[in-house]
Amino acid sequence: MFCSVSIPVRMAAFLLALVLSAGIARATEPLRVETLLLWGTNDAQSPDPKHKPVDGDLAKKLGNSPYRWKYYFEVNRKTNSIPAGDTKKNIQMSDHCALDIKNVGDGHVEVALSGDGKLLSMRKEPLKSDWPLIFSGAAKNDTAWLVVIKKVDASAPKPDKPAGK
Amino acid sequence: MTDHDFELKLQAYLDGELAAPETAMMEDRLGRDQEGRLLLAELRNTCAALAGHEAEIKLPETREFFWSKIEREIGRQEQPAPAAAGVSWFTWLRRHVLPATGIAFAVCLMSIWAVHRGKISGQFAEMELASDDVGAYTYSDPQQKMTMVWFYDRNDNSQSTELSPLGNVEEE
Repeated sequence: MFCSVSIPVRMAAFLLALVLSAGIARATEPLRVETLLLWGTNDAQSPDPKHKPVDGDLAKKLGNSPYRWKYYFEVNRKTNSIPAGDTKKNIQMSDHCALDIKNVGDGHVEVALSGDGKLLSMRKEPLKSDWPLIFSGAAKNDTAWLVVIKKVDASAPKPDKPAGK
Repeated sequence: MTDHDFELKLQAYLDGELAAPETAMMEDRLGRDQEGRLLLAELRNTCAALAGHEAEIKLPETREFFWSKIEREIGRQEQPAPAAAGVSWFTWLRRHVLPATGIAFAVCLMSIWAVHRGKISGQFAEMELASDDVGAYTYSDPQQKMTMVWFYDRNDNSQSTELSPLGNVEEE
């Protein structure tokens, strides 16, 4: 029956199938997620020499944000590839802070933030490479902790080794 | 001879179709049969009336030519319709391009729907706090392209809204 259909119609059907399969592939492709633990302070130097000052686009974003700290240091960085429907559990950002990240598909993630083993919050939202999601809170001595979660494009180069751990 | 046979023979007699012996017999009977003569007269009158008012149809052509035309028309109708030598561009367009256009239109609609759906779903986030002791402020900055969530302890007065860098934004 399909053979009796004219060639342009067959080509159009092929293109339609291609578009649909591309959409399905996009919705089910693994998601590379980068998570960073930052420390915000007004001191120019971190007491931990392993801490690396945040630079680049993220530093610019933080500098123009409502956060009032002058300096941000990278304490830890992790990158995970999460297949659609899967959950990467217990991404340990520090001794006190851990994340569970679920790739719910179609570019969306569900992030569970835990502090000292206790679940603090669950957040579901679309994750983009140029639009980080930042969890933050107060720390000692008028400083702050920040957990940055962002998508890493598949074409992006592999990140450097974690600054802290 | 029954009356019906007589009537038929009378008609034939009127038309001059009877053989000589039968004609003689018919004339003999008519000499004796008054009803027969009246019927003959009526038939003659009828024939005369019909002959006077019958429409005269004259063919403008000969009989052979007339039937030849009918024969040729029948032959022409019995022949299978010759296949079109070439398909017009409009027919080709209608047959090939229009279905493809329809499918392309469907693809466009689906793409628009997918983009629209992505935009809608991309605008909203859901958040749940696990504890009543913890509060959170959320601020999305479209200019800097970042979403910030500030957690604070509701029981700790030192971490009030005033101290939160995101104090004037959406509270969860």
